[in-house]
Amino acid sequence: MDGQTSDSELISASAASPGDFAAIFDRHFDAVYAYLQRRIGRDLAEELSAETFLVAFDNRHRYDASRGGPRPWLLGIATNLLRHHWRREVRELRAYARSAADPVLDAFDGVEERLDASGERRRLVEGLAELPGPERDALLLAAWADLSYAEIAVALEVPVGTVRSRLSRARQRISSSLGGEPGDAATATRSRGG
Amino acid sequence: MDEMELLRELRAGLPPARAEARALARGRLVARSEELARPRSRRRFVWPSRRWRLLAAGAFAALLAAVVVALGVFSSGSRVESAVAAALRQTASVAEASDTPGITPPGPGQFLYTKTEVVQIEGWLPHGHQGSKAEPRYFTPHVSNPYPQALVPTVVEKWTAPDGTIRQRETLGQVQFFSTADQRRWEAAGSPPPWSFDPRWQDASRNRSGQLVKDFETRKWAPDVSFPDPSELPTDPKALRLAVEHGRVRPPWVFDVEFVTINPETGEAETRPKGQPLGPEETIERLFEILEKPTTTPALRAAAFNALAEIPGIRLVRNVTDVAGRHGQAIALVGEGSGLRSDFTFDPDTAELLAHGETIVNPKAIDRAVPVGTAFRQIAYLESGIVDSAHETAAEAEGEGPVATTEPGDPK
Repeated sequence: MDGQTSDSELISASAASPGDFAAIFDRHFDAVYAYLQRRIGRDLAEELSAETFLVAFDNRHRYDASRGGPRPWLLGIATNLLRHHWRREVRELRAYARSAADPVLDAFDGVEERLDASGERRRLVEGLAELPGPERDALLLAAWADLSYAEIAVALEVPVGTVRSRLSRARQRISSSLGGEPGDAATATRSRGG
Repeated sequence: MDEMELLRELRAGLPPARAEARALARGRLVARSEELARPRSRRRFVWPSRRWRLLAAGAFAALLAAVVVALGVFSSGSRVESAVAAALRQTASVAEASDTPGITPPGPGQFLYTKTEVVQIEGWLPHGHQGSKAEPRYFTPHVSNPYPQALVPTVVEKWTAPDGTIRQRETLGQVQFFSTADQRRWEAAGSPPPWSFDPRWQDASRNRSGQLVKDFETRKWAPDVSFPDPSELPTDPKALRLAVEHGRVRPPWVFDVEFVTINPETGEAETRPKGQPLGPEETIERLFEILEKPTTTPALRAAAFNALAEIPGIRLVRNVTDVAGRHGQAIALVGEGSGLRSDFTFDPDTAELLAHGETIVNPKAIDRAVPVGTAFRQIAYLESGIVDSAHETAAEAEGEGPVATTEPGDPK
């Protein structure tokens, strides 16, 4: 398979030629890892990223190319795996909110962290920690994985309307935590395909 | 700046994955794909949708080593009834006469409850995992010799709702090493739990008995695959076998339909030529996939066992004991070169599927210092049934036990 082959063609071909699926890894690992690392930190992201592609490989015959590229599908698998660690995620967000030291950044030297003199970031993190898991998933798929409403719907296997509801509620809760009003959805949320 | 902009700034700018982590992840994927691409007869049995790993149940070693017997071989070109076929037909009769119907899918507010016990071999790295910030005591199924090997039992309970959402509770049992010295060394190090239950990395807590438990919600990727419709399959044994052999039994009854083989001339992986039926081992595996489904009816179970009876060269192991201590018989498939034998264990007196797993027949082939006959990975099917609550077991629903009370880790 050459570099011009589409993701869908690669996944389809991998039914007969399983090794072709490695190209899907090469194209999408960085995005999956980046999303997971941002949510749960480096060490667990390394393990869950690997698991994501193993699960995707095992379920490649269920991939529906008509619903778009595989990235939402992969991020959905990653999000599903992450649910086993919701409690840890919330624990670390709360620790961050209390101490202003982010456990996720703890693994890295030299990563810049913007000073937060007003406490705004702490309130943001507190708000994230208090979100119900499904709302946090939808919100962070939008904010950190840059998925559209339709893509989030594919990832979470829910209707687009449910995505809109979850995002709306999540943003209201976060805004309340920040002490303000929700931002303009038309400008703050990607509208591509949504 | 609104909340979405603030979120996008949070934890932005993190470095990419470390090269070694990326390479390790890719290596695991490639290994999985290469495993699948090997000819079936040389491939260790892997059930990808369950991510099964080979594990050993030390308790089985002596029993299995003592009782492996191949019974009966069909004479070439004729269907001579053998002792094996007769035993399987007898089991089919038991299945057909059963008054236990297949499970109907759960209705609104109900759940399919299943309970299994998984016993597998894991390796312990007393000095930690190189290249990461992981703590020194690292315990995982991924490592073989020279690291100490142990049997790790886990009870897995699932409550599956009609929409595919699942409450899953996993309880870690007593870890047992193969040597007393390793066991003491591990205990002296504080009895560090396997990675999959280590509270430093997982959302695991202890129950009232002090066992580590994970309790979480998840979902099947495709929610409609939990409850396949038995009316889709023929209950005539010959028709069922032909349907399986010719790829007409499709997911969710079986994992895959397309079958990959290696062309001996080119060495390339290719799909089975159109029209070419599956071989005996592949057919056996798929018939047991059907038997394993909770919605399988008595008639379908009978058809599957009768279909097995018609497969030439089938090997039956008598007097098998599974990880739960139950006695039965097993259809055995030996993977050439893999060092493993796949066992499908059933109770001939009830026609129920008891367990499924791989037994080590050549420890050197899998680079594990464990006795021959140890189970590499065993899954014992313990309970299944429809319940009205995600906090109730099938036994409790039938009035066979106390009503479940909330345990630490129960979802609120």
